[in-house]
Amino acid sequence: MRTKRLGLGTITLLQALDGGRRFGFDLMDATGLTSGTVYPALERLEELGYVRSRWENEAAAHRDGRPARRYFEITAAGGRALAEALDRYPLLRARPQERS
Amino acid sequence: MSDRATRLVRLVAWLVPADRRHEWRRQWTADLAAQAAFLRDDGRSSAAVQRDLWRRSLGTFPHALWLRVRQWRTLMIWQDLKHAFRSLRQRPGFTTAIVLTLGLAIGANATIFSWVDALVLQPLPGVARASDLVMLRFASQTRTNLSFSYPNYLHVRDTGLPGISGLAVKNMMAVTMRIDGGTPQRVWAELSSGNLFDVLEVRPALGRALQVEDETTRASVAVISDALWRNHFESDPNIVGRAVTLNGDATTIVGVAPPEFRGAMGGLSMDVWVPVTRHAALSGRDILSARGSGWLTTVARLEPGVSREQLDAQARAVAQGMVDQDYINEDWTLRVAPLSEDGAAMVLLPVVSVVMAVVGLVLLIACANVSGLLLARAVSRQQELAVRSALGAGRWRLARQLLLESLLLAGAGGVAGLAMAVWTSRGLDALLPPLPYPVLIGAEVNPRVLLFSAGVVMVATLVFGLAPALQGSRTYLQNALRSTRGSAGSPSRSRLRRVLVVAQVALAMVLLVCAGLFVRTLNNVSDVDPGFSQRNAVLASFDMSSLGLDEDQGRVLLDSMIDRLEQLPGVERASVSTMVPLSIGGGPDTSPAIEGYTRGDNEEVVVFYGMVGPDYFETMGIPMVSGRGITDRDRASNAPVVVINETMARRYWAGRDPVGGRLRTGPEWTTVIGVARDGKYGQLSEAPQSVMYFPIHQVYRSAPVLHVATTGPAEPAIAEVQKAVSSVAPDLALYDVRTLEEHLRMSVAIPRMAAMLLGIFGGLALTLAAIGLYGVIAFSVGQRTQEIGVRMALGADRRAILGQVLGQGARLTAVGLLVGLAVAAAATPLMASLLVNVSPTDLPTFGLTAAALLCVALVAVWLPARRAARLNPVDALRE
Repeated sequence: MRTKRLGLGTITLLQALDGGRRFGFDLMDATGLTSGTVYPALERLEELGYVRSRWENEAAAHRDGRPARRYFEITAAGGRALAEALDRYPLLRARPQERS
Repeated sequence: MSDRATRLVRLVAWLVPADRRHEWRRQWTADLAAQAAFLRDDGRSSAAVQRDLWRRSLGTFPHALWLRVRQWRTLMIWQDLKHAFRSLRQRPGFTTAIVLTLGLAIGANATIFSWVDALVLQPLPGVARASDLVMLRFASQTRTNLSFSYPNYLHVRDTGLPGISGLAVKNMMAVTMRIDGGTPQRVWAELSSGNLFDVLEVRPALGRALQVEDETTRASVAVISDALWRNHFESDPNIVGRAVTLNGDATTIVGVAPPEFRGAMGGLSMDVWVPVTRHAALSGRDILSARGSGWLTTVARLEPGVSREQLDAQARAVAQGMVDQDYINEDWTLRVAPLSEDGAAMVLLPVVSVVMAVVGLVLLIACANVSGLLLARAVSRQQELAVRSALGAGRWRLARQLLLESLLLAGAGGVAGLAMAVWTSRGLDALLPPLPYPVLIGAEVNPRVLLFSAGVVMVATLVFGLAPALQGSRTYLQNALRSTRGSAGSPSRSRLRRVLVVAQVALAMVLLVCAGLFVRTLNNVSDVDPGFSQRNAVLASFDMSSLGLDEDQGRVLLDSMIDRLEQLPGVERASVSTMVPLSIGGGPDTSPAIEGYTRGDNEEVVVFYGMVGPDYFETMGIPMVSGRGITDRDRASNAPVVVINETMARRYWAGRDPVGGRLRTGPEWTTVIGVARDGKYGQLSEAPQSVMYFPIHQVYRSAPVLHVATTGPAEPAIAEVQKAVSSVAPDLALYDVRTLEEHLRMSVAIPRMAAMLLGIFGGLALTLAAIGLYGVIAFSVGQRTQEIGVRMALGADRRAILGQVLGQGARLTAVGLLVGLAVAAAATPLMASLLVNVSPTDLPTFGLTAAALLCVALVAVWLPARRAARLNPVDALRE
């Protein structure tokens, strides 16, 4: 299947997801994108099948004293799309810094 | 989590398609909560957490919008939108006319709503959760707005009122501030209980806020406003600990308020906040311990989940306890009032409310107008719609398409209107005359105004778009495809257009009647006798306590100042008074015991009072009805005397001679020495009220107002007056220096503002109604060209055609006028309290308005009628 051509912001987002970022605000901090870009982009990536989302385990979240969050992970198709995009723009290969 | 962020999530959630809403809200709430927890664990301040959450929550809007647009795309609304957009672009003139009409009406509504918002919905900028704030006021049988004395406040605070988390009191006064012994400057101080900042949940930007200990220890401390800090202290980062003097009282600055915070009185902007217990040090008189002196207004924060009604019941119970302990009069109770009963809203809200109703009517007229235009256009689009219908578009799809066009038009009108409102919302501050108060309404287009405008756009779309959409989608397929012209739409369609025109004329009539009544009020107000004949005078306020003078020294200074002023060439007389006639807000009041007068059961004696200098009545040209005025003889060493006005004499000395009578406000009896003519004390429209004048040398006040009567125009004398005062007291600052004429102009400012705004909107309504009428008649003439041609060919002369068309317009106008008259007669009594010397159903106003509207309507009808009469029958038949 042909992968869809992605914009720089979306590639950065996929990169951050590939690097293990899973929540909306983490992705914001890792990419420097605004919440107004990140959330719609995640919806679009999910629609394309590049990302899937799940709800965190209620009990685990409750133990941390906060509600369960929706978290995202990159799918195999998303991984392929990312690899293709990085081949096209090799300068983007540097990974964003992890938040401790 | 941040309140603002939570509210935004809750609000924006409505934009999300229903099937995704719950999950969307859950996602945002959880992400924000986790972020808040993370930041707090990271040791960030609460303000920093709030800022971060707010910034992040702004993404809710694009996220919700994205989901909504995706939903539309699947429902094919997207295609319809594109089609609607193309169709509107094809007729730029038609589209522009509608967008401008709606833009004006929506802009007017957004503007006035922004004023209401600043006065009522968010009267205290920079204050958290302002919707939970209320006022407590005492109410008697005749008055609902009685203030708190300090002992009353302490009692309620210490008794504890269930349902509130805090109760603060405050009052404002002008004080003279000096920085490092420099030039005296006049600033506005809010004297407040130590917990004011806590109750309002305002955190200082620098240093600390006022605290309860400041109040109990009577600490000489002050928090200053951000504006004062920037403009007078060059934003000194080391401001905390700096000393200033306020009315000569050495005061230490302990904090700077955040930039957006302006104080606890809506629409008024304060410069410093000091503990209320500094009142004696600042004013030179001690009323803190006086139970009966009401001078403080309150602000209380409701506990979560407590309603105003619940608090009202609790407050009444507390008041009953106060009655039992003799704190307050027997017939007093406590009531819960909105914040809009305080500050600038108290004066402006009645007028702004009328204007809000008026712009609502303007919007209705605009909608009726646009609806008429769309109905007319639907006729020329019959073929297009019939083709779409033939190609399989159902009635619902066609109606949806037409409604979407209406939504686009209203949306564009909304954008135009908001662009206008960005400018005009600031107009309220510009419309206000220079007032002796720090008024700053600060209305602006904020998210609430945006939301309101979005609501207006939706409602307007339904009001003007629904009928054309339903009518337009009912295509008579065969007729429409067959005919080219002449099918003026169904009979019901043209009937609807006529109904819309009648509605426009009727609404315009209502608006113009309101405007007319306010113009009459403005005229009448200028004719009202204010009770004094002097017109040329200089008024100037000053405060002797800023010099640190005691009462005796103050009296000496007053005498020498007046002596000096009376020596000036061109000065007729000079005096002082604490009560300037026609000052918004009036003066203080008291409840004296009157010798020989027995109060009725539950009767409340309310008398306003002021302190005046020798020859005050002569200076202002207030005639004495009997007895004498206050003279130089009425000194502290002589027997206490008082002058009363006619209303008071009539009310409490009925059938007796008041001169020589006695009254008592304290332990000592005071003798009435004269009766002065009635005047207007607060507003020109007020009912007669009882007033007493005490000699200022007997009842000393440190901050009166100079009244200097001049033989010629007062303006040129101002500089001389200032020079003369500074020759006697070089350090005394004069402020609010103005001529009496300028002061009187202020008193008509509110009626003038009302008349002007209603005049503008009345004119707009008239124009829209005339355009609507013209449109309907012109359209009907256009549709009947052939018929007119036939009639002319059969011998009808031009005058008959002219008469027929004019008659059609005149009938519509007449029906509209009649409906309008009836509605106006029912509606105008609602604003009776704002009118002066004119009945809400004033016949001349109704008659003149109807005549004016009829004239404009006839001109609007005459133009198409003339075109009809000038038709060439041959051309008309050929069409």
